[in-house]
Amino acid sequence: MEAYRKVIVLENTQLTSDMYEMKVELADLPQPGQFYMLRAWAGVPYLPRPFSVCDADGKSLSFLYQKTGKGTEIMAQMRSGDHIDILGPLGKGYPLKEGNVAIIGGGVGIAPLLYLAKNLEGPVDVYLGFKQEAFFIERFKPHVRQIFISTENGSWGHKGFVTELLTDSYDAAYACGNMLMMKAVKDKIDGLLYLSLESHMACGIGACLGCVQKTAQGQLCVCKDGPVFESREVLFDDY
Amino acid sequence: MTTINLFGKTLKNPVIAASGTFGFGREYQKYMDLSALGGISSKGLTWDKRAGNSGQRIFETASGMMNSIGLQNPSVLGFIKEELPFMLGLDTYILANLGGSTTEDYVRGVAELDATAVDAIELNISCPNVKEGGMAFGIRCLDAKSIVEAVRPFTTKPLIVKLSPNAEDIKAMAYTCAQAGADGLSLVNTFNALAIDIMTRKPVFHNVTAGLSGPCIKPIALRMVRDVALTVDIPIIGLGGITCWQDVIEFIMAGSTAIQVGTANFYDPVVMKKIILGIENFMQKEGIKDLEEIRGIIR
Ligand SMILES: Cc1cc2nc3c(=O)[nH]c(=O)nc-3n(C[C@H](O)[C@H](O)[C@H](O)COP(=O)(O)OP(=O)(O)OC[C@H]3O[C@@H](n4cnc5c(N)ncnc54)[C@H](O)[C@@H]3O)c2cc1C
Ligand SMILES: Cc1cc2nc3c(=O)[nH]c(=O)nc-3n(C[C@H](O)[C@H](O)[C@H](O)COP(=O)(O)O)c2cc1C
Ligand code: FES
Repeated sequence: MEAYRKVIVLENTQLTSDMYEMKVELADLPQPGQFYMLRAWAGVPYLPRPFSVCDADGKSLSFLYQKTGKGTEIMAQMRSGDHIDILGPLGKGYPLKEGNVAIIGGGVGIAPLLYLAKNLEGPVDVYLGFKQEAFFIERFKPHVRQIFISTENGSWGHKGFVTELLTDSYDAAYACGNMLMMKAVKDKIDGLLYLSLESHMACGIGACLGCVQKTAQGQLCVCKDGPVFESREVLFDDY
Repeated sequence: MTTINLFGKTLKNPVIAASGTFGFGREYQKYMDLSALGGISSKGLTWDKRAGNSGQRIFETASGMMNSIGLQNPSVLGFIKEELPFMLGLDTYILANLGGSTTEDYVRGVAELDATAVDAIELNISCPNVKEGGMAFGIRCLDAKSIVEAVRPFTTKPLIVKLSPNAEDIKAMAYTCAQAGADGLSLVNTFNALAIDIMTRKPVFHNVTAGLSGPCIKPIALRMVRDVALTVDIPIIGLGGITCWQDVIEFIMAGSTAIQVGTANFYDPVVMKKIILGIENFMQKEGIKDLEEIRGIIR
């Protein structure tokens, strides 16, 4: 298998004050929930960055990303025709379950959920929680039954947290967001729930042991054994 | 010919994967032919299985990174049972990297590893991430001497002592380890370093300090390798921030017989393949037949 591949940026679109979507030319069809290590630099910064697959159609692949630091700032400046180095697909994605399904995303955590919604048979309800600016909602519409939205300042949908809208009435649920949100989801859902976790990564392939998560089965690598874990497996004691 | 001689064995080239950055090789196998490597040093082993450190383990710095893995490993016996058979099938030079917190653990580990087919034992007295863990022995010469002397009778395999750049005096440390029976030295391990999260007003790492590696340490590591090469006449395996073939040539000119690549494997899992090719090309262009011709030419 090839390690880092140089791919062409097709589009790099700004969606909100700090959210971007980058589309690259790549014929992969990864599993929903899998991720890639991206690198648009050499020397400084040093490490590649992990990003979830947001969309894929067999010809191109999209990443939804938030500009938060050195690496994503460089990414935000890229234009169509530029090249980016990419390793993947990596990790284990979401197992696709049948029946009534809920998808819960917070902020940039909605990144892997669109591609998941597209791949589920459904019916799918999505719950999207944002701080102030809601985004990406139109993209979900064709693939889901219902969309529930919340913003912390009340500018769109329910004022507060999206977990306040969530009911425990599904055959399976999937969540991605910060750890506090996922903990709130876990407290609400007793049934089958899959969480996509984050961790600081160096290698992305299971070699450095930098990304471990405490689980019922011991220490597992978020990059190789995850990033998707069944909620019952995850021990939240660091949070 | 990129081959080198290390303790009487021929390595295909001087490029060895550094401990803790290459697992036991498995993860890299799908990206490259591991038999092309000069060698692989295993993840740091300890007598007892270790879960490693809690909290954030990785932090990026300018041109490098800090880590606080804390020697997460399956134990010496776990390694021998689960991982070593795979490594021995790779047709490359295998180093078992051994850490520890007590003399007894080091001795037991060395004795067990001596009974296996590993090519060499790399004694890690330099891990900064475990409280009792090794580095305590790598700071002062007397502590290092006691460990090396204690384990030496328990193995006939090449015994390489991995030095810490945090040693009080790297030349004295190298001399002491050689006198105590080391067959070779590898240097450097990571630099003990600090990062602070200014918003939480706390250190980034639970352990407060962590080990710095990557390109940012290369010039200091290179200086230390030359210092040591001018002090002892046993083989030196140089490492610290190597990312390209040019870096390797520098380390050889500073006195290394072989080199190791660590953090750069995270930047590019096939970087060592590229480095080996680069060395080959350089030797051809410069008319170098044997790397011995340029080893240690920086006096
Ligand atoms: C499996 C996985 C999937 C991810 N998917 C997405 C995604 O689809 N969209 C998106 O916007 N973000 C995603 N992230 C988070 C993303 O990797 C970070 O936002 C990004 O690394 C920040 O890089 P930076 O250089 O801009 O920030 P800096 O703060 O300058 O980064 C410094 C270092 O910290 C690491 N880091 C910083 N924030 C995070 C974080 N939240 N998680 C892990 N490492 C971090 C960086 O990788 C880098 O090593 C994902 C993380 C993981 C682990
Ligand atoms: C994530 C990580 C884990 C490491 N684990 C070990 C270890 O288990 N044993 C050891 O002797 N050195 C360990 N090291 C140190 C490296 O082998 C090497 O000495 C150091 O990183 C400097 O080389 P580099 O700059 O090429 O990475 C580790 C380094 C890193 C970055
Ligand atoms: S990022 Fe290296 S093991 Fe997961």
